[in-house]
Amino acid sequence: MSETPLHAEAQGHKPPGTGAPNPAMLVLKPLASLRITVILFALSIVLVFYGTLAQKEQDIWDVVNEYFWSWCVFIPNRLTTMFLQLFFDLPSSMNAPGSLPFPGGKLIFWAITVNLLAAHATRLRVSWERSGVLLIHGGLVLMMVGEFLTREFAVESTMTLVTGGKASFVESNRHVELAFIDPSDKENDKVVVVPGTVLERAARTGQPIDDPRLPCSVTVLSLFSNSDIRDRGKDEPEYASRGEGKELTVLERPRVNGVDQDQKVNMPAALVRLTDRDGTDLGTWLVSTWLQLTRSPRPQKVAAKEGERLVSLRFRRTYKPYTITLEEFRHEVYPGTNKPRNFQSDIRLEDAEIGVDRPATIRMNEPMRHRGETFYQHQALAGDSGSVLQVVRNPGWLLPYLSCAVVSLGMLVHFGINLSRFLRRTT
Amino acid sequence: MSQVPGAKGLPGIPLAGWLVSGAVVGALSFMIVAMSYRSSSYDLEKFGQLPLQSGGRLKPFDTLARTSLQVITHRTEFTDPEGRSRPATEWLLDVMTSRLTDKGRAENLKIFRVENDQVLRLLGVERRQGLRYAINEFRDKMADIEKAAGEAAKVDPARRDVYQRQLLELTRHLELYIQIATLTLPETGLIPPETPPTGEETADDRWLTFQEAMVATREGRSNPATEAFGRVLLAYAQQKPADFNKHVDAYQEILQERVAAPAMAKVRMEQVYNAVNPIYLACVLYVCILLATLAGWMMGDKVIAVQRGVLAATIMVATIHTAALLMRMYLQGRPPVTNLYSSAVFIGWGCAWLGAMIEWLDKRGAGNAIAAVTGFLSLLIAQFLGASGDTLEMLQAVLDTNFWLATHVTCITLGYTASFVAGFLGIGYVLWGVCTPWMSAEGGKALVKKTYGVVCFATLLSFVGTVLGGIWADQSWGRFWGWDPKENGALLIVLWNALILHARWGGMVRDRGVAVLAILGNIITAWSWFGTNQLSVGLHAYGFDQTLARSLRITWIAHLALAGIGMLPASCWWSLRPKAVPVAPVSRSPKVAMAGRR
Repeated sequence: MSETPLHAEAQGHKPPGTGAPNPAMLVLKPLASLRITVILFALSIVLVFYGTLAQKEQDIWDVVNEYFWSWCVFIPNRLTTMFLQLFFDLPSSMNAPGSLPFPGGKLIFWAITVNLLAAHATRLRVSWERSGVLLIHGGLVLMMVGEFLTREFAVESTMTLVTGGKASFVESNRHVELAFIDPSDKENDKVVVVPGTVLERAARTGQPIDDPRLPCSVTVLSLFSNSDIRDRGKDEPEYASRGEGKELTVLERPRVNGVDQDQKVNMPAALVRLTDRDGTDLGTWLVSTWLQLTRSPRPQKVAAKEGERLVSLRFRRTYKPYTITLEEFRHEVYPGTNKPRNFQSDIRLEDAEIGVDRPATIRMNEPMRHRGETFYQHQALAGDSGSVLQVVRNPGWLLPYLSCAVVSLGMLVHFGINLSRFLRRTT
Repeated sequence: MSQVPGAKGLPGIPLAGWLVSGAVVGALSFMIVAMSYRSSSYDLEKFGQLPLQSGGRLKPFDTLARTSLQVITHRTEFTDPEGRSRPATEWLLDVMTSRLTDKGRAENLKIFRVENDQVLRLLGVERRQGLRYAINEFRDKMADIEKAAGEAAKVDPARRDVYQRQLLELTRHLELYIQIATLTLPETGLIPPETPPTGEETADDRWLTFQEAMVATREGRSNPATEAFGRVLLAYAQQKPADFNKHVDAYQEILQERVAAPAMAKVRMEQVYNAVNPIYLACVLYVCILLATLAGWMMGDKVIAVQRGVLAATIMVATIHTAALLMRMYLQGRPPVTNLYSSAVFIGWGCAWLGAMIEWLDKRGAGNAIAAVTGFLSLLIAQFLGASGDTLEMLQAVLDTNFWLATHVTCITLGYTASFVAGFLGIGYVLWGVCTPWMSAEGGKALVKKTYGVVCFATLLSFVGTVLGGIWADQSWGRFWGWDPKENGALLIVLWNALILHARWGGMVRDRGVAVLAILGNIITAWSWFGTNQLSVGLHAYGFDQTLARSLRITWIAHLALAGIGMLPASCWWSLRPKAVPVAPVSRSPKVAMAGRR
């Protein structure tokens, strides 16, 4: 560009007007440098690129935590060689060990925020000419706040419904829990659960989980974060000594990755030894989310001294004050093909607390909202026997809309001012 | 805008320019379309307009013929044993009737394209020019092919070598051929159900496969449509053109009672669209425009007048391109972008009009060149992407929303468009400055200013498009941003454009820097457009993806090389070398003139 940049930012190097230099300015000036902005943009481009490549091997949530929601990330060199193998025919035998440290999403985000605020404090004066820039930057900050709220407070879960069946709880398929259910009360089950994080620690340390609320103590022999189960062959060893698991074999599988088309959810399993309060061995049990599928639950009964309990490893449940009944599930295809055209759940929503009892339809791109939660058509159960709804509570859901409108307006104003100036000069 | 003298109507282009360009474009278009016309004693056009139901929609036999032939032989025409080019519908009829006759015409057509020597050896044929072989040439090797393909199929897709991939591709083509010959194409109904039309709803009824229709006839449930269609095929098999034409008419009358009129009109329109092939037409015309632009640059002081004329032609070709786009929208009943193929057509369309706009302001041919090069390249990519099948396919359930297709997809695709145009302007600047002595300080600066403007435009569109995508995601599964590969791809474009803008505002880059950064932007845009897809298909190495990966590689290396050239020191720039003559006095101030020389 010419010696006089279109924007006054670069002139900020000259002292603004007269008077003694403000000591705060001495600190802010260097922080406000556009050079830093550009470097940060470049860093974020590299980060996003590797965060995309990493999804070839890792679950999208792991990638988000490691790359975008962290201060520092160790990017494995393997990703670079994988990229070169995919696109540049590098021999597949090539393998680069090790990893390089790189600033994570959080660090870059805060650096950009500091840089932006410093820029506004030192260079960017409030004026009509600058109104577009102000709107853009303000909108972007708003967007970041929205992303933060979503990250911290949004809860995503699913509700699985068999046609004709009802449910009043949602499941989070990113977390598991070991549940002991006391079915003795006819009206309501009494449930005690061990959260997944406790199971993980117990599996690591080998220490039994002992809690007075539990009917027995639990030793986690092994924990598989993703698994498959199948009927046990004649010659295969018995993993479990009791229950359904006696006739099953569990296979460990790699955790799902972000670009996997076939499997999107990890299906954990565990081998646990249960010991009664008085030290009696209650046997080794295979518990798995596979045994808890809504369509074909296979409960396992443990005879503890306290009474009979049902034990299961299941996705973390949250109980809701409302009940949803799936009245009909429709899976339409294009005529003469198997290509899905529409998935639709016709449901009845009952919420006695606030006196709601109404039918509703949830279909692709047409969610239902209730009590600050949004219900989306998510999946069909095998054989169209039922429907899976995605249930999302996100207190920050409005912010992206708002910030998008602000930034877009800002860009229109800013580029509009520039364009009209350019056109005036051309004529 | 400053006006060229004598301009009436649209500013800047003299009437003579419109007339001359109109005559040339019209004549060329006529020639190109007429050249693809093939006469026959059979009324192939009429047969080609008959509807069938395939992939969930009604389409003409013409489309089925072209897409199938394209898959098998990589062309939409074939060469008959006499060496003449013949239309796809003739091939389709030959194959469909191959079991009704013992002439063996279809079996002797050289249509199977085989490139690999090892596969050729397996087929027991000699390598020949054109690389196309008839099924009769390797009929006796079918068992061997089946056995070898069975073994190749067992190999993990990621580890298959060229031979195995091509062998499996050949078996897929053979399978398609046999499906046509035995009238057992999957997801394809040839015979309409026996219900009278009830408005638009008829399209939702499932058509009968030929087998189902035959079974119904055998069981005594006679369906006039089955018989009428059978007579059409029989007349063709017996080589009786007059009978064939008569029976086609009769079959069409039956169809008119069963298919709603608007649906029939659409099917007919699709055949006309296929026959005119406006995408191909525009693609060829863009090359002509590039040639005209280059010629215009040789004209010395007449350059502006000539480039104005070429601009008129650019506008006309872009209009043909627009018509193609509108026709596709009408046929599909959807906004312009619904799949990768249509994104290429749309990007080309945006590039062409953006180029025309730049030319309108610039007058020196840069805009014409951009329109021609980007229009041509994107349509070339489209031809390549369209080769894998039906480009007007139905959409998966989650995409079944015209609102988001119209807003998000259109916006993000326009963002790609603007980024590409900026990149090509950058390339133009670098080549102009390095390879020619003609880039004046003023001209170079003007070009970079345009690049800058287009980058602003690209930032706006890609940002809005990306955010709209987030809103769509929020609407359909409750997550505004999920960091998935495609979203990240879009984000990269926004970040890169923002980087260019900030680098310029901060004075870190000047003219050459903006040009080089814009060129590098093409690498990122190409990654977002195709690279991320490749990533999600992963290592599943089917033929098409291999080609895609190779094309991407070439694109990236070429752009890196161009960026490298752009970073050569000023002394290597032909146009920036100190000349004996002082800098032209047109610049506003000596300072600006010096800047242009940096």
